[in-house]
Order: sequence, then C-alpha cells, then structure tokens
Amino acid sequence: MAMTKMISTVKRYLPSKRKLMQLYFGLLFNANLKGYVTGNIYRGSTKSVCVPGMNCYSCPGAVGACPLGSLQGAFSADRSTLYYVGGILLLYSVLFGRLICGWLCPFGLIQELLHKIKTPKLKKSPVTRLLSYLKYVLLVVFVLIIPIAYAFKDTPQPAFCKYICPSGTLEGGLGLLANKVNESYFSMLGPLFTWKFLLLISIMIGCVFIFRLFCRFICPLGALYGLFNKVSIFGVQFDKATCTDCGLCTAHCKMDIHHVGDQECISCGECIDICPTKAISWKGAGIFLKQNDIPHKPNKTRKVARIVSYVLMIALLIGAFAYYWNDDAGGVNAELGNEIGDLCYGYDLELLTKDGISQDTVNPINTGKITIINFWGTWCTPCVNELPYFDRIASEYADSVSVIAIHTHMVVETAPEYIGKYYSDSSILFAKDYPVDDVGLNGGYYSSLGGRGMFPYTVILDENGVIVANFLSSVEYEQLKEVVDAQLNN
Amino acid sequence: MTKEQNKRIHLIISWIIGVSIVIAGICLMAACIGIYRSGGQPYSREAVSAAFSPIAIPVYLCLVFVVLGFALDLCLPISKTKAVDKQYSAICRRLHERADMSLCNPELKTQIAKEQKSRLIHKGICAALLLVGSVVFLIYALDGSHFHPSEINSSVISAMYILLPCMAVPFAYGIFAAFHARRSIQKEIALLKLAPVAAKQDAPAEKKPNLAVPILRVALLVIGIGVLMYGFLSGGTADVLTKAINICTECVGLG
Repeated sequence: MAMTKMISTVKRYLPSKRKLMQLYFGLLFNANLKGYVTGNIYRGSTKSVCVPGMNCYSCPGAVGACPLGSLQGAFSADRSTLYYVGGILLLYSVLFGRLICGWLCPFGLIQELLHKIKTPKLKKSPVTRLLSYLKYVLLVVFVLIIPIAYAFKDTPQPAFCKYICPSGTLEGGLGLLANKVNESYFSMLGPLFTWKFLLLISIMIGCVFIFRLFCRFICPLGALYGLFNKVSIFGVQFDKATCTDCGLCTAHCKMDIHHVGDQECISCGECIDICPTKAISWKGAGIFLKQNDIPHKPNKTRKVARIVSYVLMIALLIGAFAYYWNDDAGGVNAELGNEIGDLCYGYDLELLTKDGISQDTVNPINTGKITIINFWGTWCTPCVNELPYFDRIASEYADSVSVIAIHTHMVVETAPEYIGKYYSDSSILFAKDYPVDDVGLNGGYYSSLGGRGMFPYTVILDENGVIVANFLSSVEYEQLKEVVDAQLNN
Repeated sequence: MTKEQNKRIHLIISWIIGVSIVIAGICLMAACIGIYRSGGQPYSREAVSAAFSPIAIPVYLCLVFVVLGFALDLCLPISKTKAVDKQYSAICRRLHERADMSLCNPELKTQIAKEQKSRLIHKGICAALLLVGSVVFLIYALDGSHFHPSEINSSVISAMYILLPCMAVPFAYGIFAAFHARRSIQKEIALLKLAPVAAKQDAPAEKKPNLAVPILRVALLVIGIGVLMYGFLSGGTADVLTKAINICTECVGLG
C-alpha cells in the first residue's frame, strides 16, 4: 500500500510533457556547450536569428538572439533592423502568442522549477491581477519610450536589459563571471551589477512563493505576446456554446486569467483535462487532428509518428551540440601582445571619416606617441558615452597622445554618419577593424588584442608600442589622464 | 500517523523551508551590498569568496531543507486536494442568465442596479486616474530634453520619480476597487438568489461563425512575413548579429 502511494508520488514528480519541451528548447537555444567551457559567447551567424523566448544573447551557451534585446537595439539601428526584428516578433506572436511562455521559454522553466520547492504559496488574488498590468507599463516605458527617446539622440539604450532583465544577469552576467577565464570581468562590476544582482535574487525568491512571478508581473515579452493571444494560430481556446461558465478552469489556473485564452493565458493546457464539459481545446489542432478528437489510445500509425518525431527532436539537439562544439566562429586569430608589458600587435588600419572609409591608414604601434586604442561601436551605449573623454584627451594632449577609436562593427554604414554628426572636428583618429571570418563581423585587430566580444575595450600603448594599460568596460576621463600623465612623467 | 499529523508535519516543514530561503536570500543580498559598500573597485574573485564564505552555512542549510522537503513528499506523501476558489464573477453571470428580471420586484432590481453602478463608478475612477497618470508621464517623456545622453542613469531615475506616483495612485485605487468589486458581487449574488427563476428557453439559434478573427490572423501573418522579408533582404540581420555576438557590458548588468 505504502509502496503504491510512493510510486504515485514519484509519478507526480516526473516531469510533464510540457516541462520536457521547456527543457528541450532551453537546451536547444543554449546549445553552444563549448561556451560554458571556454567562457566565451558564440559569435556565429545563427545569432542573427531571434529565438522566441527570453534567452540572453550574452549567455555563453546562447546560439540565437534575444527578441527583446534585439527590439530595443533596433530602435537605434537603421530601419531595416526594426523591420526585421518587428517582423520576427509579429510572426512569433501570430503563430504562438503566449504559448511561447508556457512551452518554449527557458526562463519560464527556471521559474516553474523554483516554484516546485515545498513552501507556502501565495495564491492569485485581485492584487496579483492588478500587478499583472505592471508588465504593460514596463513594456511601454523600458522597451519603447526610453530606448526610442535615446535613439533620437543616437545613443542606444536598451533600458530593460540594462536595469531590469534578470535573465541577462543570470545567464549573461553570472554565466560569464562563473568561468575563471573571465576573472578580469570582476573589475568592471559596480553599482549596476549590485542593483541587478539584488533584483535577480528578489525575483528568484519571489518565484519560490509566487507562481511565475516574472512572467506574470514583469516580462514585457510576455506582455507583447499576450496582446496577440486571441488571434494566435496555436494555443488554447474555449467553445462558448459548450462552456457552462462553471469557472473551474479559471480557479485551477495559476496565472491571472479572466478566462481561458486571454492575454494572461500561457496555453499550458492544464485546464483541458479539468473542464467538465470539454469546452477547452487546442487551437490549431485541426491542422494535425480533428478538433476534440484526440483519442485516448493512440493508434499504431500515430504511435510510430510520435516515436519518429521524438527521435528527430533528439537527433536535432545532438546535432546542434555537435555543430556548435566544432564551430570556431569568432576564434582569435592571433594571440600575440595582449598583456601589459607585451609589444602590441601592429596592423595598418583603414581610417574612417564622415565620408566613409578613407584610403589612409594608421598603425597603432607606429604613431611615435602614447597611443590610446579604443574599440567602440555605434550600437554600444557605454562606448558612445565614453567617446567624449577620449576626445578631450586627444585635444588636451594633442602633441603627445594619439587616440585611435576603432569601430568594430564591420558593416560600418552608421559610423561615418555618427562621426560626421558629433566628431567631425575631433582629434580622434577613427579607424575600421578588419574582418577575420566569412561573416565579416568579428574584428581581427580587436581579437588580436585579446578582445573576446566584450565592449567597450581600451588599450594604452607607450611610444614604443608596448601595452601599458588596458580597460575592459567603460573608462572615465580621470583614469585615462592618470595613465597618460604617468607615462609622460616616466 | 494520522492524516492530520501528516498534514501538520508538511505545513511545518514547508514554513521552515520558506523561512530558510528568505534568510539565505537576505544573506546573499547583504553580502553583495557589503562588497559594494567596501568602496574603491569593490568586486574581485577574492572579495566575492571572502564575503560569501560566512554565509555558506545558511545557504547550504537552505539547500538541505529544500532536499528534505522533496524527500518528505516521497516518504510521507500527502493527498493534494486543491481548494478551488469561488469564482464569484462566473456565479454572478450564471445567476443573471437564470433570473427573470422582468418578474423581479422593483426594489430588488434597484439594489442590483445600484451594486452594478457602484462597481462601474469605481472602475471608471480607476481608469480615469490611469489615464491622467499616463498623460502626465507621456508629456514628460515626449520632452526629449529630459533624456540626457551623458547622464543616462540619473535621467532614468528622474523618469521613475515621475512614473511611480503616476502609476501608484491608480494601482492603489485599483486594489480598493477590486476588493470593493468582490464584496459588491457577493452582495449581488445574494440578491440574485432572491430573484425569480426564468422559464427555460429554447436553445438559441446557431450563430454565424465570426470571421473577423481568422481574417485578422491571416492579415497579421501576411504583414509579419512581409515585414520580416523586407527587413531581411535589406540587411536587417547585420545589426542584430552585431549586438548578439558582442557583449555590451552594461546591458547584462556588468557595468
């Protein structure tokens, strides 16, 4: 008897089909296992495709782009990017709606696993229902208003990623810091990291007591998908004619729904079995099956089809692991001279002006002056913000310091325009990095100086081209001045 | 062991786990704040190890409790009968369908209408407050001078000072309105139970299928594919790729 009870309890703990799907997609979206070992992010072409769920693209394992991060970045990029990201988001929304939250989002899985911990739980109430509208406020303010306001000032500002996103802190921030290779990243941690770490811990503790706290109250991506829930092709729906309005589905659901399939419904499908009149069914099931005609005992053909689909899915996952393990996208082409005291690698870099790529070149080790090499990009907020400090140093120490700002984005259309608008009279020498791979987006000079995808990055050389300082992340004017003064006094 | 005793053990353990998780979380946060407040360039692997090692005991203890909780569920299983909350709105809707309001006495009718009206007024006030708050914030946000490129953090904090009261007032009123609505619906249910029951009507004639949703669905799908293809063909992937293959240190909260 006790044994039977125990078996039934064990069965209760076995993951449901939905959990397995969440795990599967979590692994598929983070299939770059090599990234966890090397501490580097994946830099291949699949990252130009947005995955449907919340998955930080700075996670060492991520093989796709985060749709929310891409959307915020798209406002300050050219119009085609906005069309591309907007199109992807619209397509995902119309196809799946919030089914993505329930079945495909890796961060949703983390939240649900945390909620499995045996503690007293906070039930949904009118207060949680009201709090569920908070995500719309966050969507409008942090994903639309602030990024757009700063896009008009040519300063990319992914406000949600920067100030709130716990997925970025967990997968990107902590994911990178956890690897000993990235020990130097600790030096850049400050108030922002402290705030985001506190927020992450609060959200994770909250998820233990409140079901999908982040999804329900904070996630702007869920808010966006939720707007399309009623028109989405896949998801759950209820038949008004059969529904007796007993309210069992709403009572059973842990989300703040008013009725099945509304903007809060994550289409987990748990209510389908609960409904006494079988009024709830899968939307889009008609594509594969006759609606409400899902047999309890699948016939032989269906069984075979199911096994084949499982095998294909597993093969795809193993294939993805193998592909990303052997893919050297963004590999460093030269390892010489990236430590303090080393002679810097020299290369004739093409200069960038407001009119585009110039025929003139500059070699950072042959300037005959103290040389500050700054790797920047118009897409990078801290890079753009610190450029005035370099400009000030370049004008104040014009005789003794040469500042070379190397744009790392190989598609440089936006850089000349930016230079023309803000730095047409500057003493900074703007240059263009050279590509090292077929994709043409990885900077060769940047890689040669030990750059591993982290921006901004600054290296300071003495008159002989020997590295005297390097700064990963933003620098202040005072820091630059201190190094330059120390070199001039030597 | 009786069912009651079993239930009590589960309750006690779940509270212990809950409290231990909160304590572990507070310890983690305190350690992080401690490192940050140490000044200078506060974070390093050594500083983190030094600050986190004293809290290892509560964190490990919390993990042990969590495992114990799962073990308890396996060894002393408890039948989980989920208490279903009453869905007052659904009950109210059903009672409205059942009641014959034409036969209802006028006083009862007035009382029901009064309850409905009071809910509507509170909802209206809440919506008006939200509208005012949104307009105030939008006026602030539309003035681009409030967003300084050189002082992003302070600009965002200033915007939050404007946003918070704009949203907190309707939210606070919304909580009041929601609890009022619940009480009001309960009253209405009690009143509706007194109303005479309508005679059973014939099944309504079959409605024509609503084509608006499928049409909208197809239209959105076509627009989505069109916009995506246009963006893709005009090189929109390059910027997404650039952003995704490089780490913007601020964006992941590193600094």
